Amino acid sequence: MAGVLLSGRGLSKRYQMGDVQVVALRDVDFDLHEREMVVLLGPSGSGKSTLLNILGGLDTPTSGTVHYRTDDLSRATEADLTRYRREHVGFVFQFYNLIPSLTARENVALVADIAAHPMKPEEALALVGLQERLDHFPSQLSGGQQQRIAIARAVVKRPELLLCDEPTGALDAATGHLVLEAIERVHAELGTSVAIVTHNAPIAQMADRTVSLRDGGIASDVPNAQRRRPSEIVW
Amino acid sequence: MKAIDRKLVRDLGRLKGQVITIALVVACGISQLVAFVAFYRSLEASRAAFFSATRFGDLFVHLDRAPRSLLGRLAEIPGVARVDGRVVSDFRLDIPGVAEPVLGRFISLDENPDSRLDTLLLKEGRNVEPGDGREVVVSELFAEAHDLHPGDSVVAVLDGREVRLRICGVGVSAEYIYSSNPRTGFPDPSHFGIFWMDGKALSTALGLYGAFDDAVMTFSANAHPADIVAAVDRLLEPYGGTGAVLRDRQPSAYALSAKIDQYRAMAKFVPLFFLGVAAFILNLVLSRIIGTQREQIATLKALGYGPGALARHYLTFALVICGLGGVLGVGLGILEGEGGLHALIRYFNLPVLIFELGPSSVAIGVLASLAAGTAGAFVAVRRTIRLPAAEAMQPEPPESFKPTVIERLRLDRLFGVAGRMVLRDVERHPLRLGFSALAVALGTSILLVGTTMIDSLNRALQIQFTRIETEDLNLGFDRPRSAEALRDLQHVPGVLVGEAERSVPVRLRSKWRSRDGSIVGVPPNATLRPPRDLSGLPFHVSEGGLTLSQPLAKILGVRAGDPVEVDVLEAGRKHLSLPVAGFVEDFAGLNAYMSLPELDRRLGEPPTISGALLSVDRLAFPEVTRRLERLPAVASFDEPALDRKGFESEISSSFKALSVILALFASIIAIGIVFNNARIALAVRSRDLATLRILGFTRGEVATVLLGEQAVQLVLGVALGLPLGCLMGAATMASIPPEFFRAPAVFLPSSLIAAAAVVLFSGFGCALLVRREADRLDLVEVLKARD
Repeated sequence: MAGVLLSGRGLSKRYQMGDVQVVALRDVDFDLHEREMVVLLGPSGSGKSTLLNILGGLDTPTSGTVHYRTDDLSRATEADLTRYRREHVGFVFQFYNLIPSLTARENVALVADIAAHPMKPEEALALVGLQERLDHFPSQLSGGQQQRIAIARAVVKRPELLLCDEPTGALDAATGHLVLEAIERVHAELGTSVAIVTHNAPIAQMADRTVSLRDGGIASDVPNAQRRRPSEIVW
Repeated sequence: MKAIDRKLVRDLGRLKGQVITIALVVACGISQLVAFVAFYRSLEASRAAFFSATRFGDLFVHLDRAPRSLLGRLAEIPGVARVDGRVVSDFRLDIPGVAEPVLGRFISLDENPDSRLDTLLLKEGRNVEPGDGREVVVSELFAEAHDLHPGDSVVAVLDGREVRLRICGVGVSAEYIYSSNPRTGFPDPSHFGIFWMDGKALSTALGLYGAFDDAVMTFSANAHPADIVAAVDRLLEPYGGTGAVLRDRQPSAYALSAKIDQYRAMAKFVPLFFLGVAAFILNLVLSRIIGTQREQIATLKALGYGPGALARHYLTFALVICGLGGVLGVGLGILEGEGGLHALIRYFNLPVLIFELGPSSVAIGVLASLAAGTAGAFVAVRRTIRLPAAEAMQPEPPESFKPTVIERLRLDRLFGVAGRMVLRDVERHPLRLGFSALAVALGTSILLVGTTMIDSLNRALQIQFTRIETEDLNLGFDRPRSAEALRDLQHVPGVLVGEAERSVPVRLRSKWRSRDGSIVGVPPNATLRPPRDLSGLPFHVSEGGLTLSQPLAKILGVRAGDPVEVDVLEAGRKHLSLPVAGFVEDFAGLNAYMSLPELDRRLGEPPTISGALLSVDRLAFPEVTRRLERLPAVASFDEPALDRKGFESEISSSFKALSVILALFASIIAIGIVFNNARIALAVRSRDLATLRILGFTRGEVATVLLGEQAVQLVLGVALGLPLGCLMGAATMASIPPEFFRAPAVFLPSSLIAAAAVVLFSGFGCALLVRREADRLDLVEVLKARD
């Protein structure tokens, strides 16, 4: 197996939400290898998004450590985490989080502008099949198209790591397939390691490994015997 | 252009309504700064240029008469560079078509008019031909008031003889740029003009050939003005000198300096106030606008934009708005400064107009507004970029919500659901409510300051002309005359009541302090012009000394019982020591009152009067004025009713523009607050509002929820602004130098209502615009979007 890209040990996270303290993650160990695709499964509140955010440097654990190769992210400063995200991580969110005032091309350029060795925004959009919609604003595009722009935006910097939080959550099945195919293509063509968070169990069939979470802990961690193409998955 | 900069451009475009309303608030502040600094700098520069071009004197003195040979001795006083002796006298003029008395001040010109001190600046025609006693140069404002030009003529009554004089030129003199009618003490170019004529002819007509009764002098460098004043007074005392006046106390220069000082003070205070309000609104609104971009900021962070890049992005947003406001403000300020300056220059009859912008102040003002904007944005940006990105991407956690006072008191039952939502919103954000209401209050108070000034001046005029100057006519004699003169006047048919008027020019001294003024002799049982205080009530002139107006007492630093040294500045030039018997808060001037019999007694004079006050039968009025005009002893006469009209039109014209500007500012501030808060509320709550619509709420109910908080802010702001404005108005009135004018601040209900109406209409008007947007909410689209 390829080397470990990300490694979390004893990760815990507690949030204060208004008057309530929420324990989102309890003592989790997790590894992601180079060129690996992992699906994190679990119901709402199981801690999967929290884990993904910590892995992506969007959040820090309350306790435990997380390493990117040899770098200790749990001890990194805000500036270190920004550099980590800028250089190594691509994000895809459930609700796309596109900047509404920028066109498809400009949303992708937003990342290309600050990356070290980006591909051209047009190239990234072609990778997700949107080369015809370069100058459309988000409001002029369907949800699936918006999510594919978000994927293009995530991969334009050629990241080593693509983190997707419920990428199909806001989409119907047909559109969801298109989005998964785009992710699959990026994984295959660029060799990017991918972690997908979803509560939609069938999606796990496209991954190398499925990690299930429940109540903030890991319930199971199972390699897939046989990966399927997104088009073969039914939900 | 980088993608993030495109975002900036598009955000500015999308929020153009908000950008414009905030920029306008900034522009208000900057324009005031630029305009006021321009006013006083330009006045200073114009004054300096005019004074130096016309060789304006450093010292002025009037006397009864002295031989011209005395001029040589005056010139020998150490520190005196040059002395010009002149003949100056006031005569009545007969101007066709003008019923009221018109007074002319005649000043002699020597043989070489261009080399004299206080040279005339000719605006039309030419100077007087030396030796031609029939020619005059007339002051510009008087010429304008009566449409006089070279070639026209005027008739002057010189010692009872009518003399026709030909106008050869129209000119301006630094000594009379602010020329007040000696009878009323106020500028009145229709009834008071300055005439320059050949010195020989004028002095011959006055029997002053080979003599002078007025002198002007300049000082050399390192002169000691106080020593020179003392030497001049000593030298001229035997010749009836009325006391030397230095340039800074020369009425024209003094009025100009006072006005410039007033603008200098206002240039500090007024713009600071506007900039403060602008900074406050910027802070409030920018932090809310940036707050609405919480999610976008989180996304940018997730994409790898660091805090520096984000801060730069949002600070640029704020700076563009402030910069826009700054540029607009500088433009408006230059326009306002130039426009206002033309009016001021006209008011002072300053012939030299130099427009000085004061670039450093403009730069400071613009930087101040940029700093205010930066501060406003910085607080909000810092708060947002400090949030971990993962948390920022979540919708804000529901705010801690506990039953509030309203629920505990069960007052919530009084309101519908929409009303309760508004109340809870307001209770949950007391700071937002407080600051917004405060900004509206400041806007309201700005407007009230202006109306308070106008109302107070109007009330003062009303008291002056209905309670104090109740006579129909007041006459000034050519010199103090015996009380017999009054009896003659009382016998003129049509004169109903005649009362004595006595005013003695004096220099009052107490220890090292001194001030020129006059002692007003109050006849016993005066009915036409009884002395009255600030509230219009008659006051008692104490026996056994001087009753001083409060500001004069303050200047002299005297308390009741203290002695005041009095140098009488008219014939006889007595020196008295009079005790302070009492004080009074009166309207204008630095007055010392005394009962007339006591004044006569102290001066050792038989009953003497300097003028008379008459009540005249309206039907006989034209006949009475015609007869009085012919009396040789009457040097001037004045009709208070006409003065009142003049003042009222002066006040309404000079304050109308100010009121409009202040109303505009109040309106811009109200709009800046309400529009921005409403737009932000709509952006933040569109999902809630659409949900309400889906649940069956009417558009009206939804508008209540959306705009209720703004309505509360607006009403609370106005409620706070009215008393605040009254306080500030009172402070403004109190800041008028008491030597000029003292008027209690007046707050008319109609002005309070008008101020409240301007702010409320502006606020509600723009709230309705936002409501129209809320009415057009696309319910399905809104619900599709994420929380």
